[in-house]
Formats: sequence, C-alpha cells, structure tokens
Amino acid sequence: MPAPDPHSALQARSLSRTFGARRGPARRALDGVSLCVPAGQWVALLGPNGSGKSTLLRILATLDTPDPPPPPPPASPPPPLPHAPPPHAPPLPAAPGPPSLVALGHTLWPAPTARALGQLRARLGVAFQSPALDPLLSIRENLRAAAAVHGVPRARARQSIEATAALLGILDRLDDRVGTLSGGLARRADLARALLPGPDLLLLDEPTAGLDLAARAQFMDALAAIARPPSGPARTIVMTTHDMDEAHRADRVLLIHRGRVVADGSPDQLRAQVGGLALSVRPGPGQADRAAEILVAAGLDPGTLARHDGTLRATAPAGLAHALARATPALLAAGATVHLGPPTLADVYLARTGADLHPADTNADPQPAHAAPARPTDAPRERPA
Amino acid sequence: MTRPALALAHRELVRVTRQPARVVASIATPVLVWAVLASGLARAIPAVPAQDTPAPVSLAVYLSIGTAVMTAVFSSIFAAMSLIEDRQEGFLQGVLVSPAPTASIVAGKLLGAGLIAWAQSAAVLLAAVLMLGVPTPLGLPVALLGLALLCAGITGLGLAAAWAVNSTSGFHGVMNALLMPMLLLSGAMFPLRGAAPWMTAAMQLNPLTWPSALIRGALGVSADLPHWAAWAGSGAFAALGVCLAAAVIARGRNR
Repeated sequence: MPAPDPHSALQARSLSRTFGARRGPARRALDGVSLCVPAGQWVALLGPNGSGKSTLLRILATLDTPDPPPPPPPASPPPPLPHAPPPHAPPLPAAPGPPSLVALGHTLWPAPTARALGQLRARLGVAFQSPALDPLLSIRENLRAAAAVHGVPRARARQSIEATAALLGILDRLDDRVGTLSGGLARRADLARALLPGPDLLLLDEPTAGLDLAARAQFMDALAAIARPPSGPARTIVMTTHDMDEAHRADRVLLIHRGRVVADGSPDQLRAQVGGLALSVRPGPGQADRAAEILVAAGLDPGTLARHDGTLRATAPAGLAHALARATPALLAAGATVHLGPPTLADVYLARTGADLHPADTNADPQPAHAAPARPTDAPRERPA
Repeated sequence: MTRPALALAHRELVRVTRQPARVVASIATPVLVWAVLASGLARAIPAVPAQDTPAPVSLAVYLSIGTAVMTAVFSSIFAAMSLIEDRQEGFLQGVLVSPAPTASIVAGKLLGAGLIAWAQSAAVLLAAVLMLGVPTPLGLPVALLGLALLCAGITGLGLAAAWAVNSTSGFHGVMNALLMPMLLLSGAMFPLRGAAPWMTAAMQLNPLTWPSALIRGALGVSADLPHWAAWAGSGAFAALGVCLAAAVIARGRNR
C-alpha cells in the first residue's frame, strides 16, 4: 500500500473489477487502473459508455470494491546466480504492486475498516447518473434529510441549504417537489445535496446525462463556479463524462478505454499530443470511396484515414491545411459534410484507441479503425501497434 | 446514530401522506375481504367456537381481528417495498454513501415503514373494537402492542427481501408466495382448534400465528395459544425480522 500523501486527495493503484464470473464469461470492467489526484484538481474521466469509468467512480464512492489481488504464481526454483553482476545494469521497472486505494488519507483498499469508511464518507460528496432525491419531497425536504444522514448540524444545515441553493440558482424552487422539476433543475438540486456536507472530494458520475444543451451548459457553469470558487481553495472533483466539451472544463483528463487509462494530461496537453489538424468528412450516400479518393489526392496519407460509423476521420500535418481546403469544394460536390480544425479530445481518443468516443451503437464494439480508403470495409480491424 | 434514523423515518411518513392511494389500497383490500367473508358466510357460520372464551363470537368480530392482521401484513409489505423504489429512484445510493451507520439506516427504514403499517392496522383494529364490539375492549393496548410486534417482524422480513430483490414485481411474487400461506394459516381467517391436526401443527409453527393469537387473546376473542407462548413467539418474530433486515442490509452495504 502506498504511503498516504498529504497533498493527494486520491491515490489508486492497479484497480481491477470483474463482473459476471459466477454466471458466465467474466467481463473485466476495470483493468489495472492507477491514478493520483492532487487536492484541488478537477479531473474528468472521459470515455464512451461501458468503458469502465462509472465502475471506477463507484469504487471511489465506497459503493463497490476492486478485485482482490490474484493469487501469487506457484513458486519456481530460483535461477542460478550469475558469477558477477553485469556492468551498468539498467534499473528494473517498478513492479505494479497489489491493488490499493487511499482517499483523503483513508484506506479504502485493501482491508478498509468501518471507521475509515465512515470518516471518508463524511468528507465525500457524490452525485450519480440519476439524482439521489426523493421525487415526492421538495428540494428543501430532500436537502434536510441529506444533511441529517450526513450529520450536518441543524443550524449549519439551514444556512448551507440556502447558500448552496443560491449558488446553484435554485433558491426560488426550494419548496417545489423534485418530481415536478425539469431534468436540469433536478440535477442542480442533486448537486446541492452532494455539496451540502462541504465535501473535500466531489465525485460526479455523468452529471449531465440526459440534459438538453442549455441545461447542460447551465449545470457546467454552476460546477465551474464550485470547482474554482472566487475565494478559498479549489475543490477536488472527479467527474465521469463521455462529452468532450465537459471534459475540456477540467484541469486534467483521463481517457478510459476498455477499463484502462490510455491517456492522462490537461486537455491542451492531450490535444497537442495529436497535433496538426483533425479532419472529419461525412460523405453523401454511396460517396465514401469518392470522398476518400479526393482526400488522398489532396495529399492525405491513406494510412491515417479511418472510417467510423460512415464518417471518414484523419489527422493531418498542419501543412496540409491549404491542400485540404482546396479539396473541400469537390467533397461538398460529392454531398459530404466537412470539418477541418484543431484536434478535439474525441480525436485524441480516436488516435489513442482506434475507437470512437461517440459510437452510434454504444453496445457494439468499436467500429473499424484506420481502414484504408481503398478498402472501405466495415469489418473490424485491430488497431496497429 | 439517532438523527439519521429519525430523518429517514420522518421521510417515510411524509411520503405516505403524499400517496393517499397507497393508504387506501392497504386498508381497503382487507376490509373488502372482511365484508365479503363476514356477510357471505354469516348464515353458514353464525358463530366461531372459541373454546377459551365464555361465549362464541360472531364471524364478523372474529374476522375483524384477522382483517387488522391482514392490514398490518399488506401495509408492512407496501412500506418495505419503498426500499426498492428508493433504489430505483436513486435515493438509496445517496444514503449509502453517507457516513450514517448501517444500523441507523436500517432503524430509520424499520421505524418509518413499521409505523405506517402499525398506524393503518391500528385504525382498522380500533374501528373493529368500537363498531363491532369485542369481549375484552380493555385489552386494546396489549392488542396494539401485539400489532406493533407483528409490523416490526413483517417489515423487517420485507426489507430483507426488498434488499435482495431488484424489482417490485419480483418482490410481490416472493412476498405473496411466502406471506399468503402464512396469513391463511395464522388463525386470522379461522381458529386453530377447529382445523385438521396437521393444519393445527402447521399453524402453531407459523410465526404469524403468534402475534395473531396475542391480539385475539388480548381482546378476548380467542386464545389459541398460551399467553406466554403468544408473547414469546411475537417477540421472537419481531426480533427475527429486525435482525434479518439489519444483517442483509449490512452485508450488502459492506460487501
């Protein structure tokens, strides 16, 4: 177990979670995830549905536990000792080590105690994919109940309810029943519930899922105000999302793919890793091959061109901007919709995983990656190493 | 530990006041069953032979006690089912990630759901005592205590089942399969002593029989079981239900 770092809100190492082993083929939702979140950082876990980010959040929220470490391999006879150590032997890579999780200085894994769980939960605020509010109760009644179960003193609770509601713009709706609220208002009320105890760590699981664009923007503005208050320290937030615009608001983004962290950095750092230009072309019906030919004729490397859900995507050197711009009229003539610009986090995700951040069928496996224009096939292909 | 429990119990009470249909359904069904059976069988069974009472009581009076027991059972199940709704609506997750001890969460749900079931069944029992008359009306406080033990046991059982079952339809299936035979064999519909020997034995082993016998005995309607046995059995049933709910929920939360 790593020694607790007083400056870290979260320290996780080698977390895995497997489901369904008893009832059929096991599905590994998390596969050796490690992360360290300093206090005051806003972290977004970005990935499509089923990538494992909500499973990770449930573990952080104490609602689930990671898999125990696998049993050690059977002992084998030790290798014969060399006569002399090789000169200038490189240092061995650090062993990944057994799974461990420390949150706010409390050990969550392995062997959490009831006392540690209770102390940690007192400092956690969690908002789930659907609001954890009683629709038959008003916002105020829900917040009072939440304050009571979190042990917030009554006098402080009264002040906090008003202050948090004012911050989130729901002060005038406090006495409305939750069941009568719009989705956006209910989300903000739920965020108020999570904030009420004054948590040191805020965990948000797809907090804007199901909201329209306006409500989503309002919610994210409110969250940004909470994350970086005008006075006082920044708040530590871990948020899952599959929306790259939301992830852009965070200080740091972890791209999650099939239960693994495949990229980690600030949004700008991640985009800079891809560099150049991101090209997205949605051809007209039956015009995919023609559109690919036009792009290749404009100088695009065919190896960078991938086809996802009927859209051609590629990253290109910045020097190709003019050539691609000149090719645009021909693409438009072929009935295509063209987008050319700096890479987004979705492009980073595509470049790192070969999978689309927003697959059309979220239950299906990622669509083919890096299909050459000469082979417009929908058959899955492995991403090149 | 007390404040979270009281807050959760208070929430249950507020919820029920905002769901009048739920209250009506919990009371109307047993009362309807009572009205049909009492009037339909009145000529065939004019009086119930209760051996330990000075005089037999009418079927309507006998069944009215059973109706209160049935109300307690139905109301407890309805109230316990709110745990599934809490899970589906998301409220439960918010409670589970709170620092409230598991014991206080269980106590809050038990207190709230049990109080609702007790109040509804007590209203039915009170109406029966006042409108139909019972041989020993002064035994009403003891009968209400018996109802409380019954509600605690059934609510605990219901909460344990609700924790384990994911859907309300599945919960209804489990509870009906378990509780309907228990209710029919509890002496709520007919007295133990007129039944076939094998059925009498089954009824004596049925946990619902004990609080039913306690309530009937307190009101002088019948005393199918010795007084001490009814008390001991009722207390044990209540304790079993409460402990089962606490164990199942604690195990689920800390897994």
